Amino acid sequence: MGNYNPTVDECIAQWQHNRLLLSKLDPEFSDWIVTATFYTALHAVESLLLADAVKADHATHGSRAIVLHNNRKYNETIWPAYKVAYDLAHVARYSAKPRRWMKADNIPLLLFQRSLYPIEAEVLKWLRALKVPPTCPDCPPVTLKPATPA
Amino acid sequence: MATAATKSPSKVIDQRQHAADTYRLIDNNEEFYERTGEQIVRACKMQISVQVWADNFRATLNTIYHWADGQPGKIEKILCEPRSDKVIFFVVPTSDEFDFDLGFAQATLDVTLNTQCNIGYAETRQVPRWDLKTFVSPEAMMIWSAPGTSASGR
Repeated sequence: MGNYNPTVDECIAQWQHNRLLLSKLDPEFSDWIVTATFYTALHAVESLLLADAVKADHATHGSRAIVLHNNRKYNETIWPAYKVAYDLAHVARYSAKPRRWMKADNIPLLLFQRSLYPIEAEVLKWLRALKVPPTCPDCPPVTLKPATPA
Repeated sequence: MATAATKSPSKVIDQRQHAADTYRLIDNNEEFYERTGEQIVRACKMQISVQVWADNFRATLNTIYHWADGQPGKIEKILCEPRSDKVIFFVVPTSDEFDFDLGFAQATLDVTLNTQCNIGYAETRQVPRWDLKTFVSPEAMMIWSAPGTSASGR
């Protein structure tokens, strides 16, 4: 087992890397947009947990969930928004019909507005309070590619 | 001189100091387990009797019934699947698509399950009613269904 420990900067970079992918995927692959959204959110959350020096073993989904819903700092805004992204991504990865579960048209209004953006806003609020900048990123709204005409 | 029968003095794991330290545990079959001090303390706290766990689980079901009754028209059924490391409550919505409002309500329930119910780690998962076989084991128990459905009840 390796002992690599990611840094806050590395988590922020991966958060932004995954976020960039969202605007590059064709809406035809909305199931992968859902999955990429979850991993965007995950790295945003990881950056805050690291910045907060949360010592718990949060490298697994279960242990990260425990940290998120057992701490008031995270369980009011971040946990609910993260949880819906987690549930959606789980079905997006394993169902043979993931696009029936989350329609591409609903991604900006539901998945981004109700899950990703609230997580990012909360993480940025705390990172700024912790004076993590200058690496602290801007998170403008994601612009999805227009659907490719059939 | 110490002999094999001599008990060594107790070693202390103090959660305030050792939460992040890792410990290697070895069982009689020489299986290795690496756990943090925090995890070891949590495991000890959960070392409660089966009877107490069963009582806590019954109380948890009442919590879930009450929660489900508070989501009228949104839930078709709830299935429960105890696993070795957690209990999963599969929430099956009446809609064919993911129900965001229900998802946020589940997040609140998750907090209750894990901070008040004392049954170990538990989580809810919203899964499509048209794809249950992919996500829910055949051994899962139905613990709640919507009033008026063919399998309604608890």
